[in-house]
Amino acid sequence: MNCKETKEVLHGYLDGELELAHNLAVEQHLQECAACARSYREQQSLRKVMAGRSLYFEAPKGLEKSIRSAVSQASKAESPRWQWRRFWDWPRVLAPLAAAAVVLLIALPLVMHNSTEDRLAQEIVSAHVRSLMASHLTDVASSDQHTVKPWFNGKLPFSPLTVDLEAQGFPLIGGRLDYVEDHPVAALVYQHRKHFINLFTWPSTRVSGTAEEFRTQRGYNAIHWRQDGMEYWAVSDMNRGDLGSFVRLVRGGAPPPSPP
Amino acid sequence: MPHMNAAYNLARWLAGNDTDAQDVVQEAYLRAFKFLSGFRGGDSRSWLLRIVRNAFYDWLKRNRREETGTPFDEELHSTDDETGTPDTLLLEKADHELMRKAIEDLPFEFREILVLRELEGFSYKEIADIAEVPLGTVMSRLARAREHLRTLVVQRLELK
Repeated sequence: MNCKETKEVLHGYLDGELELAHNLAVEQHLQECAACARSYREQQSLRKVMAGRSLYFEAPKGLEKSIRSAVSQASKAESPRWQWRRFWDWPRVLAPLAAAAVVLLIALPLVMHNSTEDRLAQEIVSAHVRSLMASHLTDVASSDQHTVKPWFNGKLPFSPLTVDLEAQGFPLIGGRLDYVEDHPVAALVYQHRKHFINLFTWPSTRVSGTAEEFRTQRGYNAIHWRQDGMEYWAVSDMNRGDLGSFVRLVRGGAPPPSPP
Repeated sequence: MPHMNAAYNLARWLAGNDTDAQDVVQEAYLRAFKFLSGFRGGDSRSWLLRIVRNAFYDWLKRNRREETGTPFDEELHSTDDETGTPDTLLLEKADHELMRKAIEDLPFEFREILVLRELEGFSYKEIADIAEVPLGTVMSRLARAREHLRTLVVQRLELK
């Protein structure tokens, strides 16, 4: 891939929207070409800055109420005969509203849950792929959990679980700040032979724990679970069995919280 | 109301102020309720944002016939800046205010694609659906939007 071709697909690469073969070709070119690598890094910083500057406008408090009343007024205005017909015609009036309520209240959260999970998995895999770019894997490189864990202090509003699994064949090689769904998350990086594993973790908004959930995205394996109020995603190009053993070690190997 | 924040966020970035954004969101929800039977499943957030987007452009036609967004001077904001200093560290200095103004100064089509991608996290496929453009256009438009934004931000940081 040359500079011109890279330029055309660089943003797809940045967004994790390329197929694996294209991804690898871009990766290769970025390692060889300083100019393209620079513009990639600049675009990465720009994204990071956008994500970190609270640019999201939340809806003002009164808006929901005024929309509710506008919607109910409009539905009255649209059926002028509704007033005198309502006594016997109420199923006709209520049925569409009930259907709407069913769609909004029951079906949508289900649909949304799936697509949110899918999007999240995509984002996690993209973050993993990005991290494999030379020099982006770790912000703090250390195999010592007592160096990696304190490094996150003050950078994150939580302290990630950091376990040492060197004896089990998964040495810790460092940690990094990453962004998932526009929130800062901790990424711990482990190695197993020639494979890297990114273990992403952040506080969950849900209380209950979950079993491990396995996914494959663009050729990478990912395992998601929730434990002790934290979300965990382990991603790697390792096979499913090895990644599974790694996850079991992380889950089982959590030592009791140590005093800071 | 589902997706109120997403609807308002997009409308607010496009309309540029709170009052107009609220009008647009209200209009969009009215249309959404009217066309709810036209909702055929899928992601309701992108369905609603497509309505918000259309409501905004209709509102724009009614209220600001003259204005079609800030024209972008490609000459002034030349992006072939291959020789400049590394911008990576410089960019990190951009604060909330500078970022907000820079995005607001972009044309509508760039603003909306940045909001959908960077603030809402939609995939290219979903953005193509919402903005009603071919999938191939999404990546090239996003590329131009980000390049313009980067140039604007760097210029303003250098002026500081």
